[in-house]
Amino acid sequence: MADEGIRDAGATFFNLKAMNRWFFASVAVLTVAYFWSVVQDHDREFKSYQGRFFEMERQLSVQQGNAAFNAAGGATTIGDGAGNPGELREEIVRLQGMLAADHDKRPELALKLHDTQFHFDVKNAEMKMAKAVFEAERFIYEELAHHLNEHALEAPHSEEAKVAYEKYKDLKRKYEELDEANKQAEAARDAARDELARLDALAGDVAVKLEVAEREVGRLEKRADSLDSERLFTKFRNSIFFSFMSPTLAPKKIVVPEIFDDLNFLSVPKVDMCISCHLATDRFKDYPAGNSHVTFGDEKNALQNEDDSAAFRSHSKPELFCTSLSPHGQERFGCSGCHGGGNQRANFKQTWHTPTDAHEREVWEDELHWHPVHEWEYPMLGSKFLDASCYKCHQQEVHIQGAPTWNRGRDLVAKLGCFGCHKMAPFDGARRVGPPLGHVATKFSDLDFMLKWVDEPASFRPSTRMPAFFHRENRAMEPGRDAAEITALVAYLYNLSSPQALKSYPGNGDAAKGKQLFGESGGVGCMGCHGIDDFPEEVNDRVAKLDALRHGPELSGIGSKVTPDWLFTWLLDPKSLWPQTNMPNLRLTEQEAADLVAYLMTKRNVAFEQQVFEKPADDAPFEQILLEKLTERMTEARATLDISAMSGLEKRRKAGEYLLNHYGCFGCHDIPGYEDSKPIGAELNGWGSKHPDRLDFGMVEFEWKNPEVGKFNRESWIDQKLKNTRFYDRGKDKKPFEKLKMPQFSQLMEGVPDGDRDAVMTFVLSLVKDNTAESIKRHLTPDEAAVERGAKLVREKNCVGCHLLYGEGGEIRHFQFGEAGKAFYPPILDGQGARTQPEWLTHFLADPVFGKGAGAKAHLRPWMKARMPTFGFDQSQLNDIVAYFAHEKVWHTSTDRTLWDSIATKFRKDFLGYEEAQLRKADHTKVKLFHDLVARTYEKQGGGFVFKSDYPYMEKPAELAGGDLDKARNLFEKLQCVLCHMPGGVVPTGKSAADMAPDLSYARERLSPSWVRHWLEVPEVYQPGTRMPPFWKVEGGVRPSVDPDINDPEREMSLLRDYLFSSQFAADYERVAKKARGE
Amino acid sequence: MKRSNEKTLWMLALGIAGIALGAACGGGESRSRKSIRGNVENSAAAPAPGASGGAATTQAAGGPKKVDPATAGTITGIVKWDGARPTPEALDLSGNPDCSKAIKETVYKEDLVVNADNTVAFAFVSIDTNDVYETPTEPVVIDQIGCHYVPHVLAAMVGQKIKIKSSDATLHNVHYLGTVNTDLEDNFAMPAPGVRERSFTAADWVKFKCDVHPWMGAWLAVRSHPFFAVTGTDGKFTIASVPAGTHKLVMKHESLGEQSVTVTVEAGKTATAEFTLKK
Repeated sequence: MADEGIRDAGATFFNLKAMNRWFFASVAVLTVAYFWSVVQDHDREFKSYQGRFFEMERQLSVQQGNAAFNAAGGATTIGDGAGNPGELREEIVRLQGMLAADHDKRPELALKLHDTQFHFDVKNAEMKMAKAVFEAERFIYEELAHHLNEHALEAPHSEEAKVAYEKYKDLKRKYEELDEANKQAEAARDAARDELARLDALAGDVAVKLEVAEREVGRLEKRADSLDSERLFTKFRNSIFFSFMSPTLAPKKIVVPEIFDDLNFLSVPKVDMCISCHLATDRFKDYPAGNSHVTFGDEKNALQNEDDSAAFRSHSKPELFCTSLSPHGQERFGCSGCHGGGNQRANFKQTWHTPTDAHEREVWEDELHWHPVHEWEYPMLGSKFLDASCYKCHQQEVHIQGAPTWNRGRDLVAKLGCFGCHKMAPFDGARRVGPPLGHVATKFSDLDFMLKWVDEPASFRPSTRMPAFFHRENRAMEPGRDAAEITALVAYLYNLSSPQALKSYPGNGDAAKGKQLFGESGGVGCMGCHGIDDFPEEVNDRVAKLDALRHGPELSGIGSKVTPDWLFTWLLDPKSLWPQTNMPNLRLTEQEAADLVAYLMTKRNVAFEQQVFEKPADDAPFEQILLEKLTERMTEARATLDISAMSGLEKRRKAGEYLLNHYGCFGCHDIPGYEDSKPIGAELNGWGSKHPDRLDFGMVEFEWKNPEVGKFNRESWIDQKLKNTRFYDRGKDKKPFEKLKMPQFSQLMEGVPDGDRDAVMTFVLSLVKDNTAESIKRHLTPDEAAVERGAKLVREKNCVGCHLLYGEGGEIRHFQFGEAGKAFYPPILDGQGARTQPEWLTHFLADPVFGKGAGAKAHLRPWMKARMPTFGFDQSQLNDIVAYFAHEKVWHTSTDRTLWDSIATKFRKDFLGYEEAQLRKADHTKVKLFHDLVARTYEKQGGGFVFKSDYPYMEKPAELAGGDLDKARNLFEKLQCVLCHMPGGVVPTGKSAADMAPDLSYARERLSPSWVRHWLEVPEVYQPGTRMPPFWKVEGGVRPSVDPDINDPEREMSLLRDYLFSSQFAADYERVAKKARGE
Repeated sequence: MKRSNEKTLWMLALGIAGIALGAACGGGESRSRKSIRGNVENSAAAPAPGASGGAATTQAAGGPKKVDPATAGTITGIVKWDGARPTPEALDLSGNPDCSKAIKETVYKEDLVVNADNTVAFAFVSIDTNDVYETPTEPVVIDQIGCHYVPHVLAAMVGQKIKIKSSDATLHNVHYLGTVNTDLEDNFAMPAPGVRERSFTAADWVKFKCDVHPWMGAWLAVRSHPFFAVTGTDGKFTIASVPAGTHKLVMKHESLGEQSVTVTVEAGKTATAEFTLKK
């Protein structure tokens, strides 16, 4: 029983058979798992995108290859690579054959060249010899003639001279003959050389031509081949098990060393894999731009492909992003630094794409199985909030060019004064937006006004930026509470109020004149900032959009609000009543101010006046408020005792004090004793990175976390908060002082269009935790910083209320109707720095009338109705504004216009949407963006600006003298400049002041010489619609001359310019003007 | 999902086969290469698609039309004034000696000229059509004499040359603005007597002004067809060679707006129309 023995000998404690089975099973499972994992690893989402994209690329290359092939002349010219060699190749063969066959031709030509060269050398030497001899003889003859007093060298009298003259003449003739022979020999040599060169070049030229044509076609052929997924080699490289070597379908990464991901207390550079699927981001010339809502196949797209996946679009705004031509190349900035999202993955769901709107969300849910997630802290920013990301690096700028939503958000936050309660870095140190409340008793016509105003500001002025604190939904359960709180607050403020010395209104105002001053043809300037119902604006989008940002309050009901004395004092000198006000001084005379007061006091809001504010009937509500507050820190018994010791008035005032601290009125208003109080709201710095778990979603948290709803995120929270500031109190039982107290801004509430709310949200979302390196942030140079400070001032003081600045503003123009009104348009300030001398501008801004005082207008344009106000800038503000204009990098300040224009032309060719006509209608930030981007390239290519250095910034032209002065004088008279530019504000019969142009006596002090030169050349480019005619306008490709004596347009312009700046000009000017008037 | 799994399996099999084939496969016709060179279809279709599209449009438009006298008639008529004749307003040019010297007689404002027989001068009458007709080669002329545009209203066809003359020895600038095409604007100086040429690319009602002499003004009507006229000192107008058919006849006056009537023109006959203007 050997069998049994063996069995015994190898007896084991386990069943070998079973073990073998288990072993086999586990090996089988492991093998399957191994293959399964390999297959899983091989089957990746991005490969499908890459496969589709490469096929599109291949087709594109084929198409471009065909275009190149046809451009080179097609098969007939360069051959088809198979049977047909093509004309060029045949030509080369023919020429080469000809040269080879005609053995003698080239040597013969070479010999001819040698001979002619030799002949020329000989002739040349002979000629030089003869010349030397002849010149020596000429000298001898001249000496002799001089010695013999011969006056006519060609007809000598004395014999001695005659002999010498003959000899000299003979030598001269010989030299001339030889010189002629020399020239002929040279011509023969050149002809022989050219012929040989031509023959040699013939074959070479054709070969070069062929090579150039072949190179491009060949490159595209190779590229198309390499992209061909049908090629066996490509298939092999991408096949499973072998794709580890060198696959064509592979994940792509951008490492962004200057922007970081926060991974659990560890900051690591971003690694973006987005371009594994988004393969065309930087290919704006071949693929259409934009997100998925853009229709594929627009004319820009070279490739008419069916595959319209959003992944295959180029990045929108290629002039700014992704491409190597842009300031934010994707190899340095990556993707997720701006877009957010899960960057280190290459599939759609795990990267936390965020849909732009409900429609896109539906499409994604259906087609891509997308669903919202709330685990990830930084899902991608919805595309309407994308501007928020710019601020990460552009923290020092007031407006970020190319980020219009953020800019509007910033403007809105600045105007609405959100920073009064919520600390936010861009507004550190900003002044409070509301008027001071230290003297309310002297300002308002009566106590009731203030009660009713606080009760419901919009009932007095619908457009007001004062938000509503009362009549909110979370207070509906406490009737009478609002009235008590308002009464207490106003009582407290009136108690704090101290009397203010006011000028008394003399009562002699003429309302009709006041109305004219206020608004007729724009008036003295009030309409640049304020609206009033007597002068309705033209209903158009532009003005409608500006509502929330209108600089000053709408004044239709002002007569119901303030006392005449207060208004009179305010109009004469606003800063005397509110030192930080942005309202400038219009240098009104007392009579003008009185007229305006008379007019404005007729503007009453009668409905508001008739409203009745119901004050609480007894002290109970005030006691209740005090009790609530006092029991926070003492027993009820003690509190009751304290309260009972107070008089009725004291109760109101004390309650008012508590409420003022509660609501934080001092965030927006200067209130005596509260100058240094801290803002009461949550700090918003870093809010854009706040995790939704740290936000109070109230009772909707669980509902919103549901993927079906998917609103558990920052954007939805703040959207709801702005729509209804007390929303999150719904369903909660809170004591009055615990309730949400953020007031409601009517500009942002539920029901108004989303635009402004989205803009404010974009701004708040932009305040994120810092995750960028200093090296990638934009740091301003001192010049640029001055530009930003100046730009901020220009905005704060609302220069754009009257002036146009790169298409922004010019509100007052809406009230200067018609063609005739154009004469009253305040000047356009584009490139102002290039136009005026900084010193002059400084003095002008400090005092536009140079000491002439009340009632005076700026002297330069005496016809203007609107007055350049006196703003009362301090020295540093003046410096900033002047520096802002001086250092702006725009076309106007560039010194090399040819270079600038060529860059601008190329830019317009590369990027759509920047044509002159389009820019004129575009958002002003786009105009500035265009200038910035062109300036960027312009500087790189060595272009300069007028004000490279610091003060005094510019040089003066040289004085004219002698003939130049006379020519310039004549030119000035000939062009009859004085017909419009009359000195001293004289207006000839038949014309009105508005038909005249600025007085040129000021040019020398005021204007920049280089600007004058350019202005003469192209005035319409500086001020579109200007009446100044271009005298040297190019006609039929030629710039004409206007003065035959000079006959050089460039020189004429320079002369005229220099004349204006010469010291003689002033004396001539008056004389020429008198002559023109026939005096 | 299913599709990509199938693909994966296929790739797996193919990959293994690929080892064997990979080495063997050196040459072979390339799909891409073939489609670039010698692909007749492609090479014929490739050159600039924009160009062929452009050609088609021109063809579709059929080129400018010609006036056919055989099928044409004439429209005549008059523009009358209803009400008292306004007193002509004289211009005071005394402050501008260069202007008053050049022209001795009194110059009147021309924004509303009512003739002695109670008809209106400088009314522009045209048929309303967008048909494009051949452009005449002879230019129309507007002159500046004594700081005054002559004629005050003129009309031209699209593309027709317009000679803008100045006969004055004083500075004028010609500043014109389109009222239909508001982007149309030009401004140039004529400091001495001379001529400039311009032509317009689209129908328009163009305002001419001189900023140096603010009283100067003229209007230029630009039409794609030649069926227009401007009334003169008798208030009458005649439009010849109008294609037979029913037309909308439009009268435009710079300060009193537009009126229109329907006119039926028969070949070889004369149709009449009348307009009445009042304040």
